[in-house]
Amino acid sequence: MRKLVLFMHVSLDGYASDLNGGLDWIPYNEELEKYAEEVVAEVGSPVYGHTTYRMMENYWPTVLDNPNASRHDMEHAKWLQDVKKIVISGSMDIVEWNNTMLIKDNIAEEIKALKEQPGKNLVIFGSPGAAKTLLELGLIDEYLLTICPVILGGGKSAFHGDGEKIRLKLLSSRTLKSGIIAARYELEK
Amino acid sequence: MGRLILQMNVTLDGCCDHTQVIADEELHQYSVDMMDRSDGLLFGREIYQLMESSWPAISSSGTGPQFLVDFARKLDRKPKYVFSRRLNQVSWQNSFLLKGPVSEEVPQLMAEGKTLLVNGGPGLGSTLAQLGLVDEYHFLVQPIVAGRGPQLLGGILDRLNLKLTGTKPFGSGAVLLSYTPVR
Repeated sequence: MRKLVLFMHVSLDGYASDLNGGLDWIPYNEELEKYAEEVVAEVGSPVYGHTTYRMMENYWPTVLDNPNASRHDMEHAKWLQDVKKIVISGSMDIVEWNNTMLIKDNIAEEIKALKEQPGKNLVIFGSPGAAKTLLELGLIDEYLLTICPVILGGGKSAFHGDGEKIRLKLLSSRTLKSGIIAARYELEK
Repeated sequence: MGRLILQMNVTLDGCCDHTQVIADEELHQYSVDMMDRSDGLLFGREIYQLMESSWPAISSSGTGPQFLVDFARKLDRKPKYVFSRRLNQVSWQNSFLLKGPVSEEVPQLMAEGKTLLVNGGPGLGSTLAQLGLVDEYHFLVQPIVAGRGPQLLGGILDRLNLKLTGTKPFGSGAVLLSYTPVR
């Protein structure tokens, strides 16, 4: 059975974005891009909430028509165009991007059915809103957290659940030169 | 000049509730090493009272696991500086009550060349961080999503940029991350 994995950049104090929704505290560089590529290599389907989905849908298809796009961006755009994408949103009615599945209701059943299908993992990219929903439903099997060397002091919490404590097991951790800790956890069984 | 080391536990969702700690031998050894490195301990009232309510009894009775008794006696001997406007006296041996503002008392202790260890609650930790008085941050990241609780340094007003200086995974799944502030 494939897994549902949450991939998120977080601050040391557990935020996914700062008070203004900003992400400029993430030390994004070639090394992190490379790490993200490794993560993408294990993705069968990316999972988004509606905000992240809109951002992706508005940007990546334009890359396909951009002759100046880097090779990395072009490859990623092609991959995104073809891969089956999952959007979790109660407020959206239609999704127009190629090969996109909208889940509005019965989230647990739908995700469980997707997990039963063969293929590589389902990976949530960012999307703290969707992550919270999936966390509360107990559907997330693994956490891939890139812990950034900053304390924001406020912002949007990365994955506040319903107050239930969740005990995880550390599978691996790795240090990037920028001071990011890339850690992988799974639900304690 | 001395050094100020702020040591805190934190869960993956940024909660620094001291009850969310996986206590094991490795954590104990780390605590011993940190104590040995330091000339004194700095406390806010709450953590001080919490510790005072348990450790001196272990030390004086001498009962229980030997490593705990040793630790209790080590705590007895260490100078303990307690920030509190509410308390009028502190009775645990080698304790000193600090009534002045943190911004004055701490630099004074530092000027004496002391290495001070702060086992911070969120209040004092935030104050020290905000004042730029912390030289080293040690965060023990627990493999836990707490779901609720006080936020790590929740009282700071400005973003705190850090430089990673060390990592050490513990067998419990906790990871010790050390940082210095980016000034």
